[in-house]
Amino acid sequence: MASEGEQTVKLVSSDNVEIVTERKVAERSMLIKNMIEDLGAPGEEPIPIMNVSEAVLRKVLEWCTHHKNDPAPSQDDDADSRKKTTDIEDWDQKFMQVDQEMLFEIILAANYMDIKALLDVGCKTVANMIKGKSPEEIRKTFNIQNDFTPEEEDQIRRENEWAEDR
Amino acid sequence: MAPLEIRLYKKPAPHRPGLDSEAPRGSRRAATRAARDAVLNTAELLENVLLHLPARQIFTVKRVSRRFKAAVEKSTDIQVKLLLRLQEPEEKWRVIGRRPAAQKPIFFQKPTKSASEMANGGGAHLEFHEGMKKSINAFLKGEPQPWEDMYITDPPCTSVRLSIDGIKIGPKHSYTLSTYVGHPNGITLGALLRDSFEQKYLGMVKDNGVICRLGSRTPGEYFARRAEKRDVEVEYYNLPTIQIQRVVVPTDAERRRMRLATSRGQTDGEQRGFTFDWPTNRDGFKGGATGRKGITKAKKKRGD
Repeated sequence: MASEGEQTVKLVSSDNVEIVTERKVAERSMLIKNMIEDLGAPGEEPIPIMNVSEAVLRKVLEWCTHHKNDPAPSQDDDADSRKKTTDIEDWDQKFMQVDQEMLFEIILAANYMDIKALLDVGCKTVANMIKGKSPEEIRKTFNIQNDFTPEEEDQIRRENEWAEDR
Repeated sequence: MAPLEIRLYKKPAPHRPGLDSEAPRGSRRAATRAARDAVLNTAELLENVLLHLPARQIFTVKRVSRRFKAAVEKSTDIQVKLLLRLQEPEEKWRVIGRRPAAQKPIFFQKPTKSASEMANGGGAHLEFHEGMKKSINAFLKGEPQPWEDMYITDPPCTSVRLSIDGIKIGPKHSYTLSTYVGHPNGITLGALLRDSFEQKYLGMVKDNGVICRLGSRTPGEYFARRAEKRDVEVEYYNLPTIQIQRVVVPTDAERRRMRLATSRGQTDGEQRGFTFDWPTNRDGFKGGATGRKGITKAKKKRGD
Protein backbone atom coordinates (compact mmCIF):
# COMPACT_ATOMS: atom_id res chain seq x y z
CA MET A 1 0.00 0.00 0.00
CA ALA A 2 1.24 3.45 -0.88
CA SER A 3 2.24 5.66 2.01
CA GLU A 4 0.18 8.76 2.65
CA GLY A 5 2.71 11.00 1.02
CA GLU A 6 2.51 9.24 -2.31
CA GLN A 7 -1.24 9.16 -2.45
CA THR A 8 -2.87 11.60 -4.77
CA VAL A 9 -6.14 13.46 -4.63
CA LYS A 10 -8.23 15.03 -7.34
CA LEU A 11 -9.37 18.58 -6.81
CA VAL A 12 -11.89 20.39 -8.96
CA SER A 13 -11.72 24.16 -9.26
CA SER A 14 -14.71 26.47 -9.48
CA ASP A 15 -14.26 26.60 -13.26
CA ASN A 16 -14.41 22.82 -13.42
CA VAL A 17 -10.77 22.03 -13.99
CA GLU A 18 -9.46 18.86 -12.42
CA ILE A 19 -6.09 19.07 -10.71
CA VAL A 20 -4.35 16.00 -9.36
CA THR A 21 -1.96 16.59 -6.51
CA GLU A 22 -0.18 14.79 -3.73
CA ARG A 23 -2.38 14.17 -0.73
CA LYS A 24 0.21 15.57 1.63
CA VAL A 25 0.28 18.81 -0.36
CA ALA A 26 -3.49 19.11 -0.46
CA GLU A 27 -3.77 18.45 3.25
CA ARG A 28 -2.05 21.71 4.06
CA SER A 29 -5.65 22.83 3.61
CA MET A 30 -7.69 21.94 6.67
CA LEU A 31 -10.80 22.06 4.50
CA ILE A 32 -9.43 19.35 2.20
CA LYS A 33 -7.96 17.39 5.08
CA ASN A 34 -11.34 17.24 6.78
CA MET A 35 -13.06 16.38 3.53
CA ILE A 36 -10.66 13.52 2.85
CA GLU A 37 -11.27 12.22 6.33
CA ASP A 38 -15.00 12.46 5.80
CA LEU A 39 -14.93 10.84 2.37
CA GLY A 40 -12.69 8.04 3.52
CA ALA A 41 -11.41 7.05 0.09
CA PRO A 42 -8.87 9.58 -1.12
CA GLY A 43 -8.01 9.68 -4.79
CA GLU A 44 -11.32 8.35 -6.06
CA GLU A 45 -13.87 11.04 -5.51
CA PRO A 46 -12.85 14.42 -6.92
CA ILE A 47 -13.00 17.11 -4.26
CA PRO A 48 -14.78 20.28 -5.34
CA ILE A 49 -13.09 23.52 -4.27
CA MET A 50 -16.07 25.62 -5.09
CA ASN A 51 -14.86 29.12 -4.44
CA VAL A 52 -11.43 28.88 -6.03
CA SER A 53 -10.66 29.17 -9.73
CA GLU A 54 -8.04 27.05 -11.48
CA ALA A 55 -5.41 29.80 -11.66
CA VAL A 56 -5.72 30.58 -7.96
CA LEU A 57 -5.91 26.94 -6.94
CA ARG A 58 -2.70 26.16 -8.84
CA LYS A 59 -1.00 29.07 -7.12
CA VAL A 60 -2.21 27.92 -3.72
CA LEU A 61 -1.03 24.37 -4.42
CA GLU A 62 2.36 25.74 -5.43
CA TRP A 63 2.62 27.24 -1.97
CA CYS A 64 1.39 24.03 -0.35
CA THR A 65 3.98 22.02 -2.25
CA HIS A 66 6.81 24.20 -1.03
CA HIS A 67 5.51 24.04 2.52
CA LYS A 68 4.32 20.46 2.56
CA ASN A 69 6.91 19.42 5.12
CA ASP A 70 6.34 22.32 7.50
CA PRO A 71 5.31 21.23 10.99
CA ALA A 72 1.56 21.07 11.35
CA PRO A 73 0.10 24.17 12.94
CA SER A 74 -1.17 23.67 16.44
CA GLN A 75 -4.35 25.24 17.70
CA ASP A 76 -2.50 27.44 20.15
CA ASP A 77 -0.48 29.04 17.42
CA ASP A 78 -3.26 31.43 16.76
CA ALA A 79 -2.48 34.04 19.35
CA ASP A 80 1.26 33.90 18.77
CA SER A 81 1.22 34.31 15.02
CA ARG A 82 -0.77 37.48 15.47
CA LYS A 83 2.01 39.07 17.40
CA LYS A 84 4.53 38.47 14.68
CA THR A 85 5.60 41.36 12.60
CA THR A 86 5.64 41.61 8.89
CA ASP A 87 8.67 39.41 8.39
CA ILE A 88 8.08 37.08 5.50
CA GLU A 89 10.52 34.40 4.50
CA ASP A 90 12.25 34.89 1.16
CA TRP A 91 10.47 32.16 -0.73
CA ASP A 92 7.07 33.36 0.41
CA GLN A 93 7.98 36.91 -0.47
CA LYS A 94 8.80 35.89 -4.04
CA PHE A 95 5.69 33.76 -4.15
CA MET A 96 3.60 36.78 -3.23
CA GLN A 97 5.01 38.93 -6.00
CA VAL A 98 1.78 38.78 -7.94
CA ASP A 99 -0.66 41.43 -9.01
CA GLN A 100 -3.05 42.77 -6.41
CA GLU A 101 -6.00 40.77 -7.72
CA MET A 102 -4.13 37.51 -7.36
CA LEU A 103 -2.93 38.50 -3.92
CA PHE A 104 -6.46 39.05 -2.67
CA GLU A 105 -7.67 35.92 -4.45
CA ILE A 106 -4.98 33.95 -2.63
CA ILE A 107 -6.06 35.41 0.70
CA LEU A 108 -9.68 34.49 0.04
CA ALA A 109 -8.70 31.03 -1.09
CA ALA A 110 -6.46 30.50 1.94
CA ASN A 111 -9.29 31.64 4.16
CA TYR A 112 -11.82 29.41 2.45
CA MET A 113 -9.49 26.43 2.25
CA ASP A 114 -8.40 27.07 5.82
CA ILE A 115 -4.64 27.30 5.30
CA LYS A 116 -3.66 29.49 8.20
CA ALA A 117 0.00 29.97 7.37
CA LEU A 118 -0.77 31.06 3.82
CA LEU A 119 -3.52 33.36 5.05
CA ASP A 120 -1.02 35.01 7.37
CA VAL A 121 1.57 35.43 4.62
CA GLY A 122 -1.11 37.04 2.45
CA CYS A 123 -2.27 39.37 5.19
CA LYS A 124 1.31 40.33 6.01
CA THR A 125 1.89 41.14 2.37
CA VAL A 126 -1.13 43.46 2.38
CA ALA A 127 0.07 44.96 5.67
CA ASN A 128 3.41 45.67 4.00
CA MET A 129 1.57 47.53 1.26
CA ILE A 130 -0.08 49.69 3.93
CA LYS A 131 3.06 50.30 5.99
CA GLY A 132 4.37 53.82 5.88
CA LYS A 133 1.52 55.11 3.75
CA SER A 134 -0.78 58.00 4.50
CA PRO A 135 -4.53 57.37 4.61
CA GLU A 136 -4.87 58.93 1.16
CA GLU A 137 -2.14 56.71 -0.26
CA ILE A 138 -3.79 53.66 1.28
CA ARG A 139 -7.12 54.62 -0.29
CA LYS A 140 -5.43 55.01 -3.65
CA THR A 141 -3.62 51.70 -3.37
CA PHE A 142 -6.77 49.74 -2.70
CA ASN A 143 -9.30 51.99 -4.41
CA ILE A 144 -11.14 52.69 -1.19
CA GLN A 145 -13.71 55.44 -1.03
CA ASN A 146 -13.18 58.05 1.66
CA ASP A 147 -16.53 58.09 3.42
CA PHE A 148 -15.57 60.60 6.08
CA THR A 149 -16.49 64.24 5.93
CA PRO A 150 -13.42 66.49 6.05
CA GLU A 151 -14.46 67.51 9.58
CA GLU A 152 -14.69 63.92 10.73
CA GLU A 153 -11.35 63.04 9.25
CA ASP A 154 -9.77 66.04 10.87
CA GLN A 155 -11.30 65.09 14.20
CA ILE A 156 -9.84 61.58 14.03
CA ARG A 157 -6.51 63.01 12.96
CA ARG A 158 -6.42 65.28 15.98
CA GLU A 159 -7.45 62.48 18.33
CA ASN A 160 -4.62 60.31 17.11
CA GLU A 161 -1.98 62.94 16.58
CA TRP A 162 -0.15 61.80 19.67
CA ALA A 163 0.32 58.34 18.28
CA GLU A 164 0.98 58.85 14.63
CA ASP A 165 4.29 59.24 12.97
CA ARG A 166 3.83 62.52 11.27
CA MET B 1 -32.84 31.89 -25.58
CA ALA B 2 -33.10 30.82 -22.03
CA PRO B 3 -32.51 33.54 -19.50
CA LEU B 4 -29.07 33.63 -18.04
CA GLU B 5 -28.88 31.34 -15.13
CA ILE B 6 -27.48 32.96 -12.10
CA ARG B 7 -25.71 30.39 -10.03
CA LEU B 8 -25.44 31.12 -6.41
CA TYR B 9 -23.77 28.34 -4.58
CA LYS B 10 -24.62 27.77 -1.02
CA LYS B 11 -21.27 26.99 0.42
CA PRO B 12 -20.72 23.96 2.60
CA ALA B 13 -20.41 24.88 6.24
CA PRO B 14 -17.55 27.38 6.17
CA HIS B 15 -14.62 26.72 8.39
CA ARG B 16 -14.14 30.34 9.13
CA PRO B 17 -17.01 32.66 9.70
CA GLY B 18 -17.25 35.99 8.07
CA LEU B 19 -16.18 35.20 4.54
CA ASP B 20 -18.72 35.85 1.92
CA SER B 21 -17.14 35.62 -1.46
CA GLU B 22 -20.15 34.60 -3.43
CA ALA B 23 -19.86 37.63 -5.60
CA PRO B 24 -20.29 36.72 -9.23
CA ARG B 25 -17.04 36.13 -11.01
CA GLY B 26 -17.52 37.46 -14.47
CA SER B 27 -14.68 39.29 -16.11
CA ARG B 28 -11.26 39.28 -14.54
CA ARG B 29 -11.77 42.91 -13.55
CA ALA B 30 -14.97 42.21 -11.71
CA ALA B 31 -13.28 39.34 -9.96
CA THR B 32 -10.48 41.69 -8.90
CA ARG B 33 -12.83 44.04 -7.22
CA ALA B 34 -14.74 41.17 -5.73
CA ALA B 35 -11.64 39.62 -4.21
CA ARG B 36 -10.26 42.90 -2.87
CA ASP B 37 -13.58 44.05 -1.52
CA ALA B 38 -14.30 40.65 -0.04
CA VAL B 39 -11.03 40.82 1.88
CA LEU B 40 -11.25 44.45 2.97
CA ASN B 41 -14.94 44.23 3.79
CA THR B 42 -14.62 41.13 5.90
CA ALA B 43 -13.97 42.28 9.42
CA GLU B 44 -12.00 39.19 10.33
CA LEU B 45 -9.67 39.43 7.33
CA LEU B 46 -9.15 43.17 7.65
CA GLU B 47 -8.35 42.65 11.31
CA ASN B 48 -5.80 40.01 10.38
CA VAL B 49 -4.13 42.47 7.99
CA LEU B 50 -4.12 45.36 10.47
CA LEU B 51 -2.72 43.24 13.27
CA HIS B 52 0.50 42.97 11.32
CA LEU B 53 1.02 46.73 11.34
CA PRO B 54 3.09 48.62 13.88
CA ALA B 55 0.98 50.28 16.58
CA ARG B 56 1.50 53.79 15.25
CA GLN B 57 0.33 52.90 11.79
CA ILE B 58 -2.81 51.33 13.19
CA PHE B 59 -3.80 54.78 14.38
CA THR B 60 -3.14 56.14 10.91
CA VAL B 61 -5.35 53.62 9.14
CA LYS B 62 -8.30 54.69 11.25
CA ARG B 63 -8.55 57.64 8.92
CA VAL B 64 -8.86 55.57 5.76
CA SER B 65 -12.57 54.86 5.96
CA ARG B 66 -15.35 54.11 8.39
CA ARG B 67 -14.80 50.41 7.87
CA PHE B 68 -11.12 50.66 8.76
CA LYS B 69 -11.93 52.77 11.79
CA ALA B 70 -14.53 50.30 12.98
CA ALA B 71 -12.11 47.41 12.41
CA VAL B 72 -9.57 49.05 14.71
CA GLU B 73 -12.06 50.04 17.36
CA LYS B 74 -14.04 46.83 17.47
CA SER B 75 -11.19 44.34 17.43
CA THR B 76 -10.20 43.16 20.87
CA ASP B 77 -6.92 41.82 19.52
CA ILE B 78 -6.00 45.19 18.02
CA GLN B 79 -7.00 47.02 21.19
CA VAL B 80 -4.84 44.66 23.19
CA LYS B 81 -1.97 45.28 20.83
CA LEU B 82 -2.35 49.01 21.38
CA LEU B 83 -2.57 48.37 25.12
CA LEU B 84 -5.85 50.20 25.25
CA ARG B 85 -7.39 47.13 26.72
CA LEU B 86 -6.15 44.27 28.82
CA GLN B 87 -5.99 40.81 27.45
CA GLU B 88 -8.37 39.02 29.77
CA PRO B 89 -9.49 40.40 33.11
CA GLU B 90 -8.14 37.40 34.97
CA GLU B 91 -4.70 38.01 33.57
CA LYS B 92 -4.71 41.46 35.01
CA TRP B 93 -2.76 40.81 38.15
CA ARG B 94 -0.65 37.86 37.33
CA VAL B 95 2.67 37.81 39.06
CA ILE B 96 5.36 39.09 36.88
CA GLY B 97 7.49 36.46 35.29
CA ARG B 98 4.92 33.73 35.14
CA ARG B 99 3.97 34.51 31.59
CA PRO B 100 7.08 36.07 30.12
CA ALA B 101 5.71 36.08 26.60
CA ALA B 102 2.82 38.23 27.67
CA GLN B 103 4.93 40.99 29.17
CA LYS B 104 4.40 43.68 26.67
CA PRO B 105 6.70 46.63 26.56
CA ILE B 106 5.66 49.73 28.29
CA PHE B 107 3.63 52.00 26.17
CA PHE B 108 5.68 53.05 23.17
CA GLN B 109 8.82 52.23 24.98
CA LYS B 110 11.62 50.76 23.00
CA PRO B 111 11.37 47.21 24.27
CA THR B 112 14.72 46.99 25.96
CA LYS B 113 13.61 45.50 29.23
CA SER B 114 10.96 43.02 30.18
CA ALA B 115 8.48 43.85 32.90
CA SER B 116 10.07 41.31 35.20
CA GLU B 117 13.43 43.00 34.84
CA MET B 118 11.74 46.24 35.67
CA ALA B 119 10.08 44.71 38.70
CA ASN B 120 13.48 43.75 39.98
CA GLY B 121 14.67 47.30 39.86
CA GLY B 122 16.19 47.21 36.41
CA GLY B 123 14.62 50.42 35.33
CA ALA B 124 13.26 51.19 31.92
CA HIS B 125 12.96 54.28 29.87
CA LEU B 126 9.62 55.37 28.65
CA GLU B 127 10.42 57.21 25.52
CA PHE B 128 7.76 59.36 24.12
CA HIS B 129 7.10 59.84 20.52
CA GLU B 130 7.40 63.40 19.21
CA GLY B 131 3.66 63.61 18.64
CA MET B 132 3.11 62.32 22.12
CA LYS B 133 5.04 65.15 23.74
CA LYS B 134 2.64 67.68 22.35
CA SER B 135 -0.22 65.62 23.60
CA ILE B 136 1.32 65.28 27.05
CA ASN B 137 1.75 69.00 27.22
CA ALA B 138 -1.89 69.46 26.33
CA PHE B 139 -2.85 66.89 28.94
CA LEU B 140 -0.85 68.66 31.64
CA LYS B 141 -2.64 71.83 30.72
CA GLY B 142 -5.93 70.11 31.33
CA GLU B 143 -7.09 68.86 27.93
CA PRO B 144 -8.36 65.31 28.00
CA GLN B 145 -6.28 62.94 25.88
CA PRO B 146 -7.23 59.57 24.47
CA TRP B 147 -4.38 57.70 26.12
CA GLU B 148 -5.19 58.66 29.70
CA ASP B 149 -6.67 55.33 30.64
CA MET B 150 -4.04 53.16 29.05
CA TYR B 151 -2.10 51.07 31.50
CA ILE B 152 1.61 51.64 31.25
CA THR B 153 2.34 47.95 31.57
CA ASP B 154 0.51 44.76 30.88
CA PRO B 155 -0.21 43.34 33.39
CA PRO B 156 -0.68 46.67 35.14
CA CYS B 157 1.86 47.63 37.72
CA THR B 158 0.75 49.21 40.97
CA SER B 159 3.83 51.04 42.07
CA VAL B 160 6.37 53.00 40.11
CA ARG B 161 9.36 55.10 40.93
CA LEU B 162 10.12 57.46 38.15
CA SER B 163 12.00 60.53 37.19
CA ILE B 164 11.04 63.06 34.60
CA ASP B 165 13.80 65.03 33.00
CA GLY B 166 14.05 68.27 31.13
CA ILE B 167 11.16 70.31 32.44
CA LYS B 168 12.07 73.75 31.18
CA ILE B 169 11.08 76.96 32.89
CA GLY B 170 12.80 79.81 31.17
CA PRO B 171 16.04 79.48 29.25
CA LYS B 172 18.37 78.67 32.14
CA HIS B 173 16.44 76.22 34.26
CA SER B 174 15.98 72.57 33.52
CA TYR B 175 14.27 70.60 36.25
CA THR B 176 14.24 66.95 37.12
CA LEU B 177 11.38 65.49 39.09
CA SER B 178 11.86 62.19 40.90
CA THR B 179 8.80 60.74 42.49
CA TYR B 180 6.72 57.74 43.32
CA VAL B 181 3.31 56.79 42.04
CA GLY B 182 1.17 54.04 43.47
CA HIS B 183 -2.25 52.85 42.45
CA PRO B 184 -3.75 49.65 43.78
CA ASN B 185 -5.80 49.14 40.67
CA GLY B 186 -2.97 49.56 38.22
CA ILE B 187 -1.24 52.67 36.97
CA THR B 188 -2.46 54.32 33.83
CA LEU B 189 -0.43 56.79 31.85
CA GLY B 190 -2.82 59.56 32.85
CA ALA B 191 -2.50 58.75 36.55
CA LEU B 192 1.26 58.44 36.24
CA LEU B 193 1.63 61.97 34.93
CA ARG B 194 -1.07 63.48 37.09
CA ASP B 195 0.21 61.98 40.31
CA SER B 196 3.80 62.88 39.55
CA PHE B 197 2.92 66.55 39.45
CA GLU B 198 0.09 66.69 41.97
CA GLN B 199 1.26 64.66 44.95
CA LYS B 200 2.69 66.37 47.97
CA TYR B 201 5.75 65.26 49.88
CA LEU B 202 6.64 62.46 47.51
CA GLY B 203 8.52 64.22 44.80
CA MET B 204 12.02 65.56 44.73
CA VAL B 205 12.76 68.39 42.34
CA LYS B 206 16.21 69.35 41.18
CA ASP B 207 17.06 72.52 39.32
CA ASN B 208 20.12 71.79 37.21
CA GLY B 209 21.14 69.25 39.84
CA VAL B 210 20.45 71.41 42.90
CA ILE B 211 17.67 70.19 45.17
CA CYS B 212 14.74 72.58 45.42
CA ARG B 213 12.72 73.14 48.57
CA LEU B 214 9.13 72.31 47.82
CA GLY B 215 7.78 72.69 51.35
CA SER B 216 4.14 71.68 51.28
CA ARG B 217 3.74 72.44 47.61
CA THR B 218 3.20 69.83 44.97
CA PRO B 219 5.78 69.75 42.18
CA GLY B 220 3.08 71.11 39.86
CA GLU B 221 2.49 74.07 42.14
CA TYR B 222 6.21 74.63 42.50
CA PHE B 223 6.77 74.70 38.76
CA ALA B 224 3.81 76.98 38.24
CA ARG B 225 5.18 79.36 40.86
CA ARG B 226 8.65 79.43 39.28
CA ALA B 227 7.10 80.03 35.89
CA GLU B 228 5.00 82.85 37.24
CA LYS B 229 8.01 84.52 38.84
CA ARG B 230 10.00 84.30 35.62
CA ASP B 231 6.98 85.26 33.61
CA VAL B 232 7.33 82.29 31.29
CA GLU B 233 5.38 79.14 30.69
CA VAL B 234 6.34 75.75 31.95
CA GLU B 235 7.54 73.74 29.03
CA TYR B 236 6.60 70.16 29.48
CA TYR B 237 7.30 69.73 25.78
CA ASN B 238 10.79 68.81 26.63
CA LEU B 239 9.91 65.71 28.56
CA PRO B 240 12.42 63.50 26.86
CA THR B 241 12.14 60.36 28.90
CA ILE B 242 10.44 59.02 31.92
CA GLN B 243 12.54 56.50 33.66
CA ILE B 244 10.63 53.80 35.43
CA GLN B 245 12.84 52.64 38.25
CA ARG B 246 10.72 50.06 39.90
CA VAL B 247 7.37 48.52 39.19
CA VAL B 248 5.35 46.25 41.38
CA VAL B 249 2.76 43.93 40.01
CA PRO B 250 0.69 42.39 42.75
CA THR B 251 0.42 38.68 43.31
CA ASP B 252 -2.94 36.95 43.24
CA ALA B 253 -3.13 37.02 47.02
CA GLU B 254 -2.36 40.71 47.17
CA ARG B 255 -4.94 41.33 44.55
CA ARG B 256 -7.60 39.56 46.57
CA ARG B 257 -6.69 41.61 49.62
CA MET B 258 -6.91 44.79 47.63
CA ARG B 259 -10.26 43.85 46.19
CA LEU B 260 -11.50 43.25 49.69
CA ALA B 261 -10.16 46.57 50.85
CA THR B 262 -11.69 48.36 47.90
CA SER B 263 -15.05 46.75 48.46
CA ARG B 264 -14.97 48.06 52.00
CA GLY B 265 -14.94 51.48 50.51
CA GLN B 266 -11.39 52.48 51.17
CA THR B 267 -10.01 55.00 48.77
CA ASP B 268 -6.78 54.76 46.88
CA GLY B 269 -5.15 57.27 49.13
CA GLU B 270 -5.97 55.54 52.37
CA GLN B 271 -4.47 52.36 51.11
CA ARG B 272 -1.33 54.02 50.02
CA GLY B 273 -0.91 55.80 53.28
CA PHE B 274 -0.99 59.35 51.97
CA THR B 275 -3.71 61.68 50.96
CA PHE B 276 -4.88 61.19 47.50
CA ASP B 277 -6.73 64.19 46.34
CA TRP B 278 -6.35 65.37 42.84
CA PRO B 279 -9.06 67.27 41.10
CA THR B 280 -11.06 65.59 38.41
CA ASN B 281 -10.65 68.49 36.07
CA ARG B 282 -6.98 68.92 35.63
CA ASP B 283 -6.65 72.62 35.52
CA GLY B 284 -3.91 74.26 37.39
CA PHE B 285 -0.94 72.88 35.54
CA LYS B 286 -0.31 75.69 33.19
CA GLY B 287 1.90 78.41 34.50
CA GLY B 288 -0.30 81.35 35.46
CA ALA B 289 -3.42 79.52 34.43
CA THR B 290 -6.78 79.99 36.03
CA GLY B 291 -6.76 76.71 37.90
CA ARG B 292 -8.96 76.25 40.87
CA LYS B 293 -6.41 74.14 42.62
CA GLY B 294 -2.67 74.23 42.55
CA ILE B 295 -1.56 77.46 40.97
CA THR B 296 -4.24 79.61 42.53
CA LYS B 297 -3.39 78.31 45.94
CA ALA B 298 0.27 78.84 45.36
CA LYS B 299 -0.36 82.41 44.36
CA LYS B 300 -2.14 83.19 47.60
CA LYS B 301 0.69 81.86 49.67
CA ARG B 302 3.54 84.12 50.39
CA GLY B 303 6.14 84.01 47.71
CA ASP B 304 9.67 82.90 48.45
